[in-house]
Amino acid sequence: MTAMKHVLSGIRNGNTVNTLAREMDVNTSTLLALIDFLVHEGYLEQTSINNCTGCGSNCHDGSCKSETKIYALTSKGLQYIP
Amino acid sequence: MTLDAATRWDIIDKISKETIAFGKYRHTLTDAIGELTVKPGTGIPIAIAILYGFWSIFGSFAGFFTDGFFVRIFDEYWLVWLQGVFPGQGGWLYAIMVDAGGIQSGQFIPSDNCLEAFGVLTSGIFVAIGVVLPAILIFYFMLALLEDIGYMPRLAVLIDTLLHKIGLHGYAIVPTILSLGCNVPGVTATRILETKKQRFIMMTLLAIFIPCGAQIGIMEDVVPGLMGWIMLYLLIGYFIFGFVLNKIVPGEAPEFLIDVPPYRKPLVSNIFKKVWGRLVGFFKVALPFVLLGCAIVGILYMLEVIDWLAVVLSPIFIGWFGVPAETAGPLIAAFLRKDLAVAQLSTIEMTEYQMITAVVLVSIYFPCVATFAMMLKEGWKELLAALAVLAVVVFLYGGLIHVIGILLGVA
Repeated sequence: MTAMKHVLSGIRNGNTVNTLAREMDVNTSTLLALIDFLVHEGYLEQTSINNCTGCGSNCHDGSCKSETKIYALTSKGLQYIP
Repeated sequence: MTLDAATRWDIIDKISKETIAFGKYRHTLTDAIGELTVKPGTGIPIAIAILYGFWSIFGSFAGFFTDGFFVRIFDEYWLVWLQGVFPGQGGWLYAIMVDAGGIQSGQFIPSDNCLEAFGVLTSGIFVAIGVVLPAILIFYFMLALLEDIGYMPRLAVLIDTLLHKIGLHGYAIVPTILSLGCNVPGVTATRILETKKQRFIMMTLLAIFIPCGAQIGIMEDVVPGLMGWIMLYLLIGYFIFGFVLNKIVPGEAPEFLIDVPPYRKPLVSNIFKKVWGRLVGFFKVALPFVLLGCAIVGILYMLEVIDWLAVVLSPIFIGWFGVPAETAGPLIAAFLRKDLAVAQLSTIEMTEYQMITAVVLVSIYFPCVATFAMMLKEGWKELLAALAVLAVVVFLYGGLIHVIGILLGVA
């Protein structure tokens, strides 16, 4: 299985980036670079929660933003994995 | 020669393996601690302990300030002062603003506590300041603390599999928990979900099964011994109807991968900012509805509209839901103020099980006006669909609770 398929399949299991990096035995930063690429190519979609609309904190300047990033499989990504 | 995408990726993968030195994964102590809260074996007991602690601190703090300070200040000073200075005792304006009281043999009987006065300046202000403020202050403080430490994303990962059963993913825990403070930012937070299907399911479940801080605060105050049962019924309903909605609502519920930040020491300034922002948001958006709701409920009672509706709907309340006919009034008024409706219910004589049923019905009944307005902002089609689901759920779940009570021999 290619690294790309491994990442996309790993998402199906509801993983964190750290767990997936461990499963694949690669650095977290390496995996993040691969994820960025998959986002760029449209296999994954990044749903950041670091925007004010979904926060409810009402700071409205983004200063209390979260660092958490969520990556969801797109239909293109779903088609690519068995 | 044209290669298909899979073959091209295989070649790319082969080249990258030959040319790039991949670093080995290093498992640090922080990773190990982080994983303890994510793996089900250790994560679930930790989550239960944290949520139990959250609940205990919430109940103690809110109870301490409401019962220890605000009840005394409002009942012994504020109410007495207003009853003395507000003109026109027994008149319609007095009844709406200060004290609806009671009439016995043509004599006006003043209320002796703010909760039962049902005036805008008494019940309205008391509920907002005396009950809701301490409840949401401690709630938002604890929530901000968990967010800033980095626990919330881990809770999201932990609960992901379970929430997938109802068409959501782990991060749906954020709007759910936010809604326990106030449904308004909870509805706003549904925007973090990816698809329309997920947002619709989440918004509907929030509107039906998640009681807000105001309601929880008042429940803690008037029916503390029944809180566990009420919350259990709401939680069961959340999952049952979430599961059903997932089956019938068309659309996708994508899987997700989460990049969890490391555990961190929280910044006091950040927590203060979040708590302050959410408190201001609550008072700006929800408080006017609290006061307006009080006024409208008062007017509807004076015009005997609620009494009329109570008579018309009482066969359903008595026969189907198994609650006394007197609860029809508060249950109808719950559309405007759920917290006041719970307070009204506490003054009606009924069995424990009927009280549980009535409070659960108040919770799953129409969303409060502020939430209603916020749902309308998200789209009128979604709102109408959510209301249709809500009507069915109230009827079915209310009847189911009654049946369970009959089977247990307590209804």
